[in-house]
Amino acid sequence: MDKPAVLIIDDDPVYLESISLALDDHFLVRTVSNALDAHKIMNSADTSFLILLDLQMPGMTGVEFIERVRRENNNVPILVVTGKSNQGWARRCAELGVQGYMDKLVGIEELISEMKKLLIRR
Amino acid sequence: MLFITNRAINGGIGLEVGRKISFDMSNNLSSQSVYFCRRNGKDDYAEVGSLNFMAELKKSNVEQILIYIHGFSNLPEPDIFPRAAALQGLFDKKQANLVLVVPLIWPCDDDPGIIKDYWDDQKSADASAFAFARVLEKFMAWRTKAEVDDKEAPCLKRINILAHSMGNRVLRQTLEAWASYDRGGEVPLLFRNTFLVAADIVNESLERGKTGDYICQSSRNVSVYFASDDLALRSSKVSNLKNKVASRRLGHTGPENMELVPNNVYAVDCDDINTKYDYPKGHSYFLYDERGEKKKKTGLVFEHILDSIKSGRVSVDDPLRRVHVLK
Repeated sequence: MDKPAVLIIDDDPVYLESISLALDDHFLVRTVSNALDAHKIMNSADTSFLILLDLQMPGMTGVEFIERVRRENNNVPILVVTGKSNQGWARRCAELGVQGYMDKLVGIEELISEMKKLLIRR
Repeated sequence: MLFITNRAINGGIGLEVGRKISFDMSNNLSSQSVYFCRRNGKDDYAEVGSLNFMAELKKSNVEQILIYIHGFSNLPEPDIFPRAAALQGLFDKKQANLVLVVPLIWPCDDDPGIIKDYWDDQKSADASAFAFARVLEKFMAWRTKAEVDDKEAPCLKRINILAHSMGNRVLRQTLEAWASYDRGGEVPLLFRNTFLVAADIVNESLERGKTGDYICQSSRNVSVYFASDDLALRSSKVSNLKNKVASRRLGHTGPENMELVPNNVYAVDCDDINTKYDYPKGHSYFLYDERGEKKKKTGLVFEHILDSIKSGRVSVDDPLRRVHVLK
């Protein structure tokens, strides 16, 4: 069976390096360092992705990305994985129908388990 | 990612838990102060403090710690953190919650002119020893705290070290300083495995009575990964001629004479793979197989390291000579 596709959006190349290595046995991993490019990829690819999204990024922020995607009636599953959380962002993400919200410090096992849960729900 | 550094930082040296810190990249003096920190994102670091740092290591659900000491001319964002992250990613891929990688960052720089840069960095490596000896004292306290305070359980997580290139010099000098100034001329058995990869130290360093003997005393196993066609170490050999030192490097030949090193030293010949994984230099070959495949495969050196971490034993082709060839 084909592995599910995941698009990881984060401006930190160090995080992208470790997370993509850790996940690539379980998922078809694609990484991108900004939300604008991620949006283009989503619109041009044939695959449907599970999105792993950082919130604080230069240019379009994670919250702005979710707002744009939801405005387009795209209900793609989004798991926010952020190093800097605050209640305002968490609340806004919930309002926008984000399916999961995790801290970057979470262990890899827990992250994979959450990603698999979201994929089953989809 | 948690990390420890003695690089100069902007701002005062006093501990302030939670304060944002930034490296003073124009200053490569080795600080006597050490900072226990967390990297939150690119160029975004916060001081954690040693007590919180150790408490977090103890509380984390990983089984073992791997302290990674980088080589010369490596800077934090472009070189050290990506490599530590790659190591972490590979460990996580193989077994979640097995290893937490903690980079130990010393103040080398990337000046133009490789020979001058090499000499600057060698001095920085030596001068970092006193600061990092204090770090080892903190790890000892972390490990043995229950002996003095029975209300607190000791931390039983195993500690491993991976020193790459000139990081081996940092390790060797640190252990010597630790033994001389804090431990009455000896060092305790603190580490489970010590991995010396492409070691830029003299190939007789680990022999009994030599400075590097402390590396063998402080660790259950010492694995020396070497490759005779490591081009970066050739440059090092040329650079060291300035000081009239023409000795062979440990990362080129392995130990000069296995009979003169302690029985816990293993020599692992990486000649068949180093330039395939890291072409053309053949120096940074401990991560993945970089032969152009889209998906990064773990390399044989990494697999060998992983096996030693898991088992606590070093597998070799020839147990009597303690020699192994990776191919």
